Amino acid sequence: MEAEEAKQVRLCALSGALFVFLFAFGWGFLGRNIPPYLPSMPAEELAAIYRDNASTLRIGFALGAFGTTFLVTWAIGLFRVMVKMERGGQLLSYAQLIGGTLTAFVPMFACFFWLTAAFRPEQDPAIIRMLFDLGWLTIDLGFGVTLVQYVAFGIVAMRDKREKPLFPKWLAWLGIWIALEFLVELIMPYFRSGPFSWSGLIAYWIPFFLPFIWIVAVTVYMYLAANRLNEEHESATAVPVAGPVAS
Amino acid sequence: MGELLEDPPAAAAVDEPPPRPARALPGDVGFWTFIAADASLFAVLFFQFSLDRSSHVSVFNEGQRELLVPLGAVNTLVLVTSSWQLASAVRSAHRRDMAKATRLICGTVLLGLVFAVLKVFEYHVELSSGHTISTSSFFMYYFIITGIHLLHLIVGVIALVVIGFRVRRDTGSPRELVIFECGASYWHLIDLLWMFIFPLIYLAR
Repeated sequence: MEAEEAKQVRLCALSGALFVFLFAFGWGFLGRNIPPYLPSMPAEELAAIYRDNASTLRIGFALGAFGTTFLVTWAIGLFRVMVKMERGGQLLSYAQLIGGTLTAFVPMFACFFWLTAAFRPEQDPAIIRMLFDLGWLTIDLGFGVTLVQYVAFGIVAMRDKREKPLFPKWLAWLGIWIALEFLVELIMPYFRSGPFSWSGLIAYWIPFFLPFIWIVAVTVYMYLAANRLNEEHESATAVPVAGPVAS
Repeated sequence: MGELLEDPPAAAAVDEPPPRPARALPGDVGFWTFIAADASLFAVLFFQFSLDRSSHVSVFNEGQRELLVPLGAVNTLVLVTSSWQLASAVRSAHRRDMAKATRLICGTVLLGLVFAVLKVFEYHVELSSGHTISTSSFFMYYFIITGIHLLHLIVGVIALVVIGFRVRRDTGSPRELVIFECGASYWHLIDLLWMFIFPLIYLAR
């Protein structure tokens, strides 16, 4: 990887950290989603919260939706690193790129639904709650494209034949496990309370926080991988010097 | 795992390959992250189950009385036997007796299918007696925990079928053994999880 591209990949990696920050701050903190309101909350109570906090909710969801842009740039950088790792074609690298790009749309649309609820909080509480439900069902059940991204990355990363792989094997497997754990969300629509509801341990705390940790870890290794790929390129293109070359 | 206990060669000849590093875990070390994460998810499920059970003991005991305990016990036996067969298959593969390893893998797959058929029958009985995922919190946990476990088992059966074909082809590559060990570790996890599920859901009062 040439020095210029390595620099761009490093920037893409950092954009992943920017996504985590913007989304956690916008969607999580200002959007009041950590912890989320219970699916069993009465419509009037929910509408009152949206009325009382409309300003912070609006900026929060707007920031959250904007933050998802950086999931796309992050996936592009990861794609360039994966292309240098993948053997026998580039299909999985493309799967990661497209899965990652589409993943950005899932939290983005969810933020738009919640933002719509906060835009006219004085309207019928039943409509506020419907938009609120729609946001949660979107963000929880849109995991299919993310599954493609994580599994494609995992397979390529674990098959890296370098003596010291660009990404550790555990990170590849952890991503695959997280992606498969998303499948638990399939039963989420059956519950309005308990661990399998959208505010529960199994459907919220695990599938929402582990991916954040995973993204941060992949970001760090992606940044280092850009440096290493550049070094590989430099040493491969270096003009051989006369005499024995150390190491 | 006999090879792990072997002493390293005292003085390797120049043309011999370097001694295999002593491994702490069978299979691929990275795969154990997957196993650990999966086991943790079940640990969380068991914890949640126990927590809810402690606050609704009568609901849970009432639900438990409706379960087919003998069927669960038979399935326990089936899984333990399958695990033992697979462990023997790994030992055979290490001895490079691939024909025997393939036979034992077939046996494991068959027992896995027996487990799945019995489980589906059990679900059929429960559902036709009117017990569904929304009947009570006990049946919610029963269907979800055993359902996720059954999905694991189905994935395990498919993995073992693929591994069985690879073992039969016997390419002699050490990578094949690593893949086999990963599959076996995953199968033992399925067995181990059932060892928690059976007493916790079917027996504990």
